[in-house]
Amino acid sequence: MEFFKNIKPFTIILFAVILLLFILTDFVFFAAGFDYSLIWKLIDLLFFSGFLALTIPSIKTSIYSKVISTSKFAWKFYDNTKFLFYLLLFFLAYFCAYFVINFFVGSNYLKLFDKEIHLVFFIVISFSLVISQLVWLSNMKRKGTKNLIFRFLIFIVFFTIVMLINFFFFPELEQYENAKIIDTFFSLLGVVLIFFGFRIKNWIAISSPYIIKRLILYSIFMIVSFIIILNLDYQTQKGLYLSNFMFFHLTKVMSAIFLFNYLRVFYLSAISLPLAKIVEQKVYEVNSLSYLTKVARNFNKLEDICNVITELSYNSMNRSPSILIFNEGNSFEIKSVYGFELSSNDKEIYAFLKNINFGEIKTSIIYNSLDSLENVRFSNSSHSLPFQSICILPIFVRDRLFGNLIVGNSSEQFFDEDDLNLLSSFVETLSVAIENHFLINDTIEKEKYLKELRIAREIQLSFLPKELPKTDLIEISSFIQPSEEVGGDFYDFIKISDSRLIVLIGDVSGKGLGAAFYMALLKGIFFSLSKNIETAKDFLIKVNSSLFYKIDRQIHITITALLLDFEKGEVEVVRAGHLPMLVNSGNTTSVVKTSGIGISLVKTSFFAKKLESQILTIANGDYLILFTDGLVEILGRRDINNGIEKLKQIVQNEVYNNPKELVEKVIEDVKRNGTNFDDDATLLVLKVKNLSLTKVNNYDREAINQ
Amino acid sequence: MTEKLSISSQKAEEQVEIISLKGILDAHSAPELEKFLSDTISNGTLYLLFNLKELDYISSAGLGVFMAFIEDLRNRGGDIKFAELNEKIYSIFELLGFHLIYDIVSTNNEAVELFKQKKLRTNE
Repeated sequence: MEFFKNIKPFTIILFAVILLLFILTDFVFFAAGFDYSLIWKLIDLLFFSGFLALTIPSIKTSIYSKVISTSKFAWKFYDNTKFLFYLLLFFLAYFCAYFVINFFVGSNYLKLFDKEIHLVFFIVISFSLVISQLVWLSNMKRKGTKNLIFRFLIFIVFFTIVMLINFFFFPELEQYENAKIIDTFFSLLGVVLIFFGFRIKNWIAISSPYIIKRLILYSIFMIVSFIIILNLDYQTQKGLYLSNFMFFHLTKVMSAIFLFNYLRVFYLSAISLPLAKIVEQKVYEVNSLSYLTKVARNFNKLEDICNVITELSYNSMNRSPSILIFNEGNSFEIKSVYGFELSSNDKEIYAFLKNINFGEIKTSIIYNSLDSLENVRFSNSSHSLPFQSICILPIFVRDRLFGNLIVGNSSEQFFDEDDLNLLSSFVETLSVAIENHFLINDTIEKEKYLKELRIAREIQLSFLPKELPKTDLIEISSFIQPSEEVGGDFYDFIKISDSRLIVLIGDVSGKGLGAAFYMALLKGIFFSLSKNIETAKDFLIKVNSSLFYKIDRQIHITITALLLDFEKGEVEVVRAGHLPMLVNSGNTTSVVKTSGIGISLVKTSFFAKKLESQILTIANGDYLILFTDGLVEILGRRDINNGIEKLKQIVQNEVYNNPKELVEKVIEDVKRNGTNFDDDATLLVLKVKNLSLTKVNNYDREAINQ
Repeated sequence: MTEKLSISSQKAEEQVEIISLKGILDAHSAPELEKFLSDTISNGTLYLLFNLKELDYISSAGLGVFMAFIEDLRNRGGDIKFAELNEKIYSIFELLGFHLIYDIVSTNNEAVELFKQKKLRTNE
């Protein structure tokens, strides 16, 4: 009923005028007793009605769209209901007129004018032809045939001028002579139109089947109409033949030309029709893919793109209902449906989907009959659904089954490989879109995480001593190269007295923010223990008992503690799972490797039992070199032992005058090995100097080793 | 030196699993091993023997993985042992003090035998 709403006042007026015209014509015909047999009359009427039903709307369209500027095909304005409406309307009008005239008039007193009135009929047809051709031409304009249109228009103008001259200036001239002139022009026009006709195949072939069907119908009517027109000739009551009138010639010549063109149109349309269906399908597929790509590139919610997928599947699979689900383990969630109402079919759909084992469907698959399903189990209840064949396409995102697209059709053997390929490309686009969606979310998450990491990093670096202890007895230089992520290297100094100094170096290893947190904890423990330190070993044992069972087992803390006693000229070395240290005394560099387990790994009693303490004598000019695994891993290219060896060589062979220079030498080497640090790299170099006090000889080792 | 860590395991006895590690065990490959171990342990395995014959490198983060499980296993009567450590790997164990925490044996059979004895003791 939509159609009737769209009828505009203009259409009604146009109908009224045309109807009146035909009623008048027939009134005149029948009153004049024109002897048609009824059946021929009806056939005649049918074709003329059809002809007008096809031409009138195009005239209307041409007027609406300002004639030449129209850019759409006149045929696009047709649809089946519209055509039938016009056809029935005209036919009924004729039929009614026939009976009305017979009923009311019944006599033949108007017979005198019958042939002349018939001329009016031809005039109407001529003009409608000219206008419809104009519309056609204007439509052709966008197909790049401007020259043709121009030539055609020249002919029209020229023809009009000649006609007017004949009418107004030479009324006495034999009509037949005029007709000859017009014939000549129209023959030329015919040549142009025939040439023009060769071009039509281009656009017919690429038109949609809908337009082509219209064209076939249109051309059949036109062809029959023109054949009828071409065979007409009447002698008027005054003894003149219609062929003596120029309008008649106009009509005949036009009809011949049009007949040729419409034969071509009919032929081309008929042969393009099967192809057009395929072309249309492909055009739709390409369009839908490009549309989908556009949507996939820019969407806010996953639901939006899911809805697009089901809609496209529905339309491209000849209106097959489509369901998109997301799987989660063994359960699923219906994300989008198209082609049916979910609420009314709820239970059936769920029962149907529950019986499919989606986990087993690894590739896109067609089931062209529900009975033939092998690895998909259906209960009998599923047959209450209108599906006889289905396609199931798994959606994989990051190699994980994310969801499925299910397209069903009510007929068996419906889907083929091409359908599957198209649906697969939909699904692939979808999976890329989903993946992008997650990537974006991941990126946002990662940004947040990195920001937190930076903060943690800053906190962590703030735990390092702001400045190295200033003392005349020892010279210290340090280097720390923080890694991209949070590492856990640290060093610290605790001054016990003027002559006793604790030096700590360590590594808190663990993932993410944890390391920074434990470093804060360690710093606090160091601080609380600093008041009461007897030996380095004792210190580490206390650290272990403070931390054991209190920290995440994934966190691994290693510490080397030195207790420098300048009064005695000794250093106590304890190593809790940390890398050994280097001592350079005189010209020899040695590795000090005491035994010990990392902090908080084992019970304090066991930890203490295995923690070995070693006392070294130090002299002026001795270097103590402490480092973390990050540093030696870089130096040894991931091999700690090589790294230690390399560092030892540098310490032994390079020339340096103070810790700072030694640190620089090592950094040079580190930089040479790469700048991309997986782990923190820390180096601490101490140089003993100004040891003036005499050493205490009877040092009680046992006291330390307790 | 292969870049990745490859893990293969084989059941030697009821509750005893021999796990062979190959490649590099560092901070990058540690999560992989961690997942593998938590799966293995949740399957009821109490005794883990790691054969490190083909392990090229281990970092402290890699060693941390074992620490995450040892406590739990030992509390339940299980244990972790290592077999066939090459010199390089052993030196890292030694540097970090891990040789003090774990039993290190020379062959798989030796370890399995030790596990058996321990199992008997636990069952008694």
